[in-house]
Amino acid sequence: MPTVHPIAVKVEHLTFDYTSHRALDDISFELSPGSVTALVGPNGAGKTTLLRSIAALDEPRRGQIFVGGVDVWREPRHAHRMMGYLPDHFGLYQTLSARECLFHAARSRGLDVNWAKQAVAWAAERVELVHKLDELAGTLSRGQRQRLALAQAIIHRPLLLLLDEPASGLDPQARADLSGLMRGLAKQAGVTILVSSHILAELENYCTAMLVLDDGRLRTHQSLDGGQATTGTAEIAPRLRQLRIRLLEDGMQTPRLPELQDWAASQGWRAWTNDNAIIIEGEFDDVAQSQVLRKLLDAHWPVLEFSASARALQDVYLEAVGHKKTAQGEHQ
Amino acid sequence: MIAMLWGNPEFRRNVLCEFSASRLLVDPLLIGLTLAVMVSSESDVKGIVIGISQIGFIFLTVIWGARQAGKAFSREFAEGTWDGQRMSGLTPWQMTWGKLLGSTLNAWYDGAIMMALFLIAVSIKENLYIAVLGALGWIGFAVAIHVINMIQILFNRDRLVQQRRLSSLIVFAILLFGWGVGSFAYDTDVFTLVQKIHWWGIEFSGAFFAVASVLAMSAWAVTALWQAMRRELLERNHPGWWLAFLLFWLFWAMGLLVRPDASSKSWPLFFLACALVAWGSVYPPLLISRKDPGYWLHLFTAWQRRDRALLLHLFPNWITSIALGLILSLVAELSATVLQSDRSSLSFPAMLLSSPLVLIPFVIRDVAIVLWFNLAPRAKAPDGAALVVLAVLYLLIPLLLDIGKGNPSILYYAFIPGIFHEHSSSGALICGTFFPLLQAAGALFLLRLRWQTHWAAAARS
Repeated sequence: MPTVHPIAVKVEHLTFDYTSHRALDDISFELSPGSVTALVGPNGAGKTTLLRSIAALDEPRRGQIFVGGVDVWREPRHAHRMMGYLPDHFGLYQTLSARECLFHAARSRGLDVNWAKQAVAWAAERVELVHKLDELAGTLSRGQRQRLALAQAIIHRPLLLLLDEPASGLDPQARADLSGLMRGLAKQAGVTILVSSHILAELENYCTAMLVLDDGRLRTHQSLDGGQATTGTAEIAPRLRQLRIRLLEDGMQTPRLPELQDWAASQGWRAWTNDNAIIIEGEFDDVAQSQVLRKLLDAHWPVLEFSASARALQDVYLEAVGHKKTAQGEHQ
Repeated sequence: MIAMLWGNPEFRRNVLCEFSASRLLVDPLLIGLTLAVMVSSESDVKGIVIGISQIGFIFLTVIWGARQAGKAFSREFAEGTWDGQRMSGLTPWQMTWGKLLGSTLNAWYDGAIMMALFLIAVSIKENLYIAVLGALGWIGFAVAIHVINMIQILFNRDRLVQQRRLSSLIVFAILLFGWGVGSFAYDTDVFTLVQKIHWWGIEFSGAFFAVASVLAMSAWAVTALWQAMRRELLERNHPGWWLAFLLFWLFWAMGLLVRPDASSKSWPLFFLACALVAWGSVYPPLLISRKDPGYWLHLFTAWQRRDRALLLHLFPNWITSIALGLILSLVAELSATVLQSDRSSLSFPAMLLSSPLVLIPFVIRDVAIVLWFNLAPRAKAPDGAALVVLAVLYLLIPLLLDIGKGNPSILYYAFIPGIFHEHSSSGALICGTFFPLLQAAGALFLLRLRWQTHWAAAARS
């Protein structure tokens, strides 16, 4: 039974230069095993370059990348055994059947014939392509081709799966299927997933963390499941949560809302009114939420509604990439 | 054997993707019918079978096979499957022969039919030895052409598919012109024309030597493909392979120069020829290999990190050639000084101009020009531009200075290395030694300026 390294991916001071520009500038982060991390950023932010560098396909100029403790650029072939990669423009051997595609992927990953046959069955089941195994890859629908490519990437049961825009070009049903597949891979197979996408609403469904890249720089590394910094020495910002508090109407609720807002501010929380309620934002995990409620009750606020929700991924993303635009605006 | 072949996933995949079972029946039928038609109108049956088998081999195995071998890569690039292959667990050697044989299996099936006809016909007309030698020569030649097409497509993968096809066609045209067209009107006497060859003083039959040389060429071509595959599959290469290649061919070529009755006085000439070949070997890798700023920044970082394996991997082959040229030039110069007593009567400039060392400033200038174009911030076809400049320097300017004059302008000697012309006047001697140095210094200055202006800051950051 192979031991699982406590850090699935460790990137240190990664710098990647193209002839015309610097694509990645001193990027450092860590991913914990079994995490699903969304890699987001505007077009040209460096997402694909980062994924290809981690996949040991394009060599960075500086920095180190470790996958499962293996230095990717010192032992690329060893690292490849531990990872799968689905590029944005993936390819399939059109004239081979899905079964032959998967069998080739398994054999070329070093599995012997018997293991390869079992791996084909396992991967096809994972991506729900069992009934399409004998059809030519070129005749499959876009969603089925995407799943076949994904099955090729996971056929050797990698520790790390890198996905570049896997949902692009898929219809809503296929995208929903893909989301379910990601969740299954992370939870059941324990695969660490780094997925780049522009469709933030879907990433929210299955991602546990988010990396925001902009202009080659890492803007934020945010936890999405309420967890604190959990991996090694790297700091992951916990995800902010919003608490919505409504007070009992007794004819004078509206005048009391500013009072509650001031009280919340005095507690050190960021608060504002919204739709006859107060919204408080902060790093509230379950224990912290309970403490807020206790304080409200102790202060004899007539609490009618108390609900918590995670801050939308869209807001986190816009805030992260918005810093630059604001700064640029001020500069101009 | 079949289990071994089928056990290579890359061979298996190529066969499944490319092999056409219908051709197993159709091709022998077509070949048989063509042969029947040709034989019925000719009295020299053996001669026509020999001719058709070779022409058929050229078209069906060499040309069609090279196309298929090239497609083994171009399809991967066009269809986006190459990244998956690079991340596979296949060894570079498995990938090399899996692609080389798997993608060309149909062509080799036809080639086997052609070679069987060739063997039978030549055995009857001449003898089995000549037949086997001929067949081996053709097979080696076909393998070399397949590999060369694969390598050039691999090197040109970043260009448009159309350009790849065009360059592929050009390579074919050049390579086939000499060999294929010459063999069109094949006659078995080709193998007996050169009765004996002396190589390093040892006597070989001409046929044997020619076929052995072709097989050596194809073995080196396969080695080059294997090296390219190692690079693609992220294994580090060693510049020693290029040195080994150069030394092998120097050894091969120089063996032809050494006569059994050669005296020690011919050694300087022998080393001079070696040095010239070594200097000439600077240019192909200089023009083919990567020289863009990204490559130099990468090399610079490897140097800063003292990453020996990466440094060796990235080490330019043309520097190896320069080093070899320098060593062989010095050896030639030393051997001439020791063995040729009449050299002592020459003046120093005259002695220098007759030495291969005179090539050093020219090569440095040329390298600097090529790199200068490649380090342009938005370089477009930099090697083509550099070749135009070199053509002007080596052809147009000397022609301009020489045309219609019995005694060319002394500036002529500034552009043609002294070793390639006679130089009697003192002006010619000065021009032949001083101006090349000035040109090399100027080119190096411009190169340094371009590096400092555009890339030095990036290298430090």
